[in-house]
Amino acid sequence: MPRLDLILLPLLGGYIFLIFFNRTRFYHQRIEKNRLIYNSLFVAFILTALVYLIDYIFLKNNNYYLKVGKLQTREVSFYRNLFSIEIGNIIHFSTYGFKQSLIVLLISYPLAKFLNIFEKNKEDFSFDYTINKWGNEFDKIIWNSLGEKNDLDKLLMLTTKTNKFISVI
Amino acid sequence: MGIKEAYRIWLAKKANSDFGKIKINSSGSFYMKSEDLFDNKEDVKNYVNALNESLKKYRENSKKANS
Repeated sequence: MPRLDLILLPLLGGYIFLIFFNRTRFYHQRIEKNRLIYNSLFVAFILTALVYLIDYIFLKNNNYYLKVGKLQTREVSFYRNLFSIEIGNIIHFSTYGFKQSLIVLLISYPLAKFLNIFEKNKEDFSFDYTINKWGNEFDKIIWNSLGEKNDLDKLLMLTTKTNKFISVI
Repeated sequence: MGIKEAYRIWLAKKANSDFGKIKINSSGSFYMKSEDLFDNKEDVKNYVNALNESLKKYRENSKKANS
């Protein structure tokens, strides 16, 4: 039986990342739901690889420590192993890779929020980019007319097939 | 269009527009507060007149098309 706990947590992490990262958020609100699963899997794979690499390169065998005056901390690898043991004591789950999966889930939300800070990932630009690239014509006309500087240019009059009028400002 | 090019266009587009006043919900919908739109009575009169005028034009044209 496949280890569902190892795939479900990164998959959930990938989903959380896609939903909270501005650049992907508005796009995924506009596409079919089944595509979201594949995109979540793709992000889950990238996040898992990232977590494994960071753990392997920077944490696992890192013997660096911090010394401030007479105070000296333990090595980075010591805290990494301590964290690993503590998690093991709490969850009693010793499958290899489970803790990395848990970290993928835990970092997905803060990572998305952190990336949103950058100027090119701001909400208004991401929304405009999504609307212009993937939005329908109705979305585009409402969004672009509402953004007009002159208020008179914001006016829209829509006519339905039954000759009813809708005035939109 | 690449993201850099799109961002450059967006900055130019945003500089002379009201995009900054539009609020975007987490659900992907958006709106502008009515105080940003209807703060001046004279302007509101102009909006209504402009809408009435376009409605009149539409009715005239549809009459011509039907006759």
